[in-house]
Amino acid sequence: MVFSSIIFLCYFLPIFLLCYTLISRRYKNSLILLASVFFYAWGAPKFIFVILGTTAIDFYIVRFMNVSAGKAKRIALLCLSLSINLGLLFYFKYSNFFVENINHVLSGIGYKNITWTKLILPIGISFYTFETLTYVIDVYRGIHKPLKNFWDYQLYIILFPKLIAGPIIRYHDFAGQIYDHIEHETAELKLRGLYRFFIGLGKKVLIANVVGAAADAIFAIPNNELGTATAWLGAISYAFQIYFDFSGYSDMAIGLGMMMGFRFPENFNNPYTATSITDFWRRWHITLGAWMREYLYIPLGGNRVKHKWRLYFNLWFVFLASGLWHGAAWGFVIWGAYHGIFLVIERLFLLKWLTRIGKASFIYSFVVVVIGWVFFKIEHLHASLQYLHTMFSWHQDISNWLPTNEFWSMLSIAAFFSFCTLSPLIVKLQAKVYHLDYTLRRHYTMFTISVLLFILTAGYITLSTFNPFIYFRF
Amino acid sequence: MKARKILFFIFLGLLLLPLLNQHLKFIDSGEIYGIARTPNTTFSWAKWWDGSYREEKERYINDSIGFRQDFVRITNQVDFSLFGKINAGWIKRTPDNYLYYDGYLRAQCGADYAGDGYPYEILEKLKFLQDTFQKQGKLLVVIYAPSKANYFSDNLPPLPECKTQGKTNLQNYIRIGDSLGINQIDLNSWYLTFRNKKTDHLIFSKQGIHWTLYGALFATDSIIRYTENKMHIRMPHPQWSEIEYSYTARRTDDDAGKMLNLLIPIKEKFSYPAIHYCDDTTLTKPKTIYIGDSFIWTLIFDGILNHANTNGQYWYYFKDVFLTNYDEGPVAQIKDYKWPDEVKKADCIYIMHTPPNVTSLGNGFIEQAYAYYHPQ
Repeated sequence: MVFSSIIFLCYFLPIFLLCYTLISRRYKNSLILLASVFFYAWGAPKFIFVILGTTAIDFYIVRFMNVSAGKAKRIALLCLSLSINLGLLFYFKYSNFFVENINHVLSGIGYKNITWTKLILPIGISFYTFETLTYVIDVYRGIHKPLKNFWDYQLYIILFPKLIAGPIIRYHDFAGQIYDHIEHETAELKLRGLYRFFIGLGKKVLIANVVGAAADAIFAIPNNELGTATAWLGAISYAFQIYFDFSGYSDMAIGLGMMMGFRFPENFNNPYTATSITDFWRRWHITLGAWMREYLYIPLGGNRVKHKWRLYFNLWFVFLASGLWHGAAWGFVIWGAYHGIFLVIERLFLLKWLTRIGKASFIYSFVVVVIGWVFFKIEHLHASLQYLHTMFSWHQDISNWLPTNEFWSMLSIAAFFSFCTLSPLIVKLQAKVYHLDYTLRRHYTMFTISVLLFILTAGYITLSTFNPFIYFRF
Repeated sequence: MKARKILFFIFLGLLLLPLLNQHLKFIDSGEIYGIARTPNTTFSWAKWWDGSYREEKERYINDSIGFRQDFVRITNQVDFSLFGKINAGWIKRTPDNYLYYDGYLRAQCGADYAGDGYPYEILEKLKFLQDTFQKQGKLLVVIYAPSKANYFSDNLPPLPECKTQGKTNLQNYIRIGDSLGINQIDLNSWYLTFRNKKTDHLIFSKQGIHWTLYGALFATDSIIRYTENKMHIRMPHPQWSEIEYSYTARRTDDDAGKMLNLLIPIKEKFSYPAIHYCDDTTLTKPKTIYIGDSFIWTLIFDGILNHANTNGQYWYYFKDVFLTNYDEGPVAQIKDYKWPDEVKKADCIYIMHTPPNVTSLGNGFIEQAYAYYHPQ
């Protein structure tokens, strides 16, 4: 089930909220768990058993690991859990890619290809696998005790607002909330959760879908017909699409959590106003960055390695892994490596120059990021390079694609909302909308805006029959 | 805090309203034009397992949720008013809200051109039938109904396929038809001469795909005169003196406009002549069969053709058979109908198509009639 569907907006959400409001406190977590299982099973009936089965296995491995005395035994159980989780992730997500590349090599040297039935990717596997890893690692490290109740652990993993596309919530950030979220369930938080949800839905349906349709159309233009200006327009449109789509989804997830008293971490902080790529990664998919730092970069040595070359390698490697996490295609790997290279260059010398430029260096960051998105969108190296060649050499446009008034309007709105927080005034306004408690007057304003957003987004959703999120397939 | 609780419950109530209205139907939001109802689905474990139940159920809920019609109209109005965008893929518009079916635009610029030699085979068969029927005292005529895109060719919305003007199927069919001596009426050219005369009345409405009743009356008169000339008979002509003006469209005058499903329909003044017919019994009313596309409907509404013909039949796309009481729906499907017998009884057979449909001239009638009258 996706949030931007009529079945979620008009069936699941209101029925769930009604039941959740009326049910006794004692049964609220059970209701959330049941709703989450239904939510996932609705969209992926075959994979609900995979996620339920793996969470059951993990729970008992971690419990056993926690009570084990010997270090060797604890390490063995840690490795077992990591192997199962990463093994399943590799199997479902990367085996197709792995076999394709092996077959490519085998064909090249004249050998017969491996016969392989392509696997379907379970929805959200990348997200919930990473959360499972935080559970086992946090318990291993002694940061937090394991959950006593199996169903509480299921709740942590399968919680429907964040199950499919994050935010990735580390176990130690969430453990206490399983029990205390009910205490935070105030009318204030519920309302702000509703507003946040509809702001996110508006970002996705009203902005991301429109600029995304243009991006899809432009990227589908044959290379010999594509002009330079149109190629740039396509890349910029995609940059806005992926931002508003993903940040919109995160807003919806955070909003839904707020309605139940959960406080999820922020996942985006105006990334296109970043003054460097280093800064960009503090603002884009923040929870993934936090995960990578805590569970990959620091174990590799982090900043405390002996040699600078080792630090730069670790940094680059972490971003290579980030790229691969996003998808099983060379385009994602190159995208990750591309960002890693810029991070290293900035560490070497570029950051000093950018600091002297000040806020205006957001232009540099935006251009670098837009170029990187070409690899992400196209997923294949050769085609990406062809597209980039069109962007950087003059080609006249002879395609049939024509921008519409709607496209220009939404592109302008997207650009405004992406860059407006360069102004400190807007940053203050944003804090009032997203983070601070509301006066009653502000509630009336946001209530009205949210109702209008509900009507508009429901209208646009009913005009289409299926409206998946861009990060859905991860 | 109490105010916040109330606001939350109001919002929750708003979220529940569509679901409640879908099942309890306490508010009727009317119809959405041009969209077929999606049937509900039944649950089975097998369908749930393979994902088809989810797809079908979500589609059904999406299409039947309460207030869907209102959601659609609001969204369409926002798109139309703010961006000039139409959420009906095949309708294109000009800045002054002239609506076109994109097939007519493609036909007008020649984007659907079938090729120079394409019509020969069908038109040669048509010529054979024309000659065969003439020996039997029957008249076979091809009528090229007018295209709105042709009539307003100086004010058309842009179409990516129409960056340049090419040869058109209509011109090619008329040219070859002329060379073969086929009975044909080109209403497109005739309407253009009519356009030069200034009139307050609409031949084509802004928001209709088809000609207006006013436009169709002039075509009827032209068809009757042609028939009289060819068959040396005198037939009753529709007459009108008074014209009623209305901002409410009748019949197909706003068929494209309706498809936009707007909150605020496009405003337009329509002209409706009060038609009266001559009761002169000395005039001849031939038995006729009309075969063709939906432009014939306007000639059938209000009994226009019936007053000039006897036992008129309309074979819609040579698929469904309608008689004079067309409101009752088709009386038969052509495949089950003894149409050769009806052809034998008829005095006049008219094949009428608009430019996008000329490449399927007769919709199979010419080929099947040729096979009937020219067995190999």
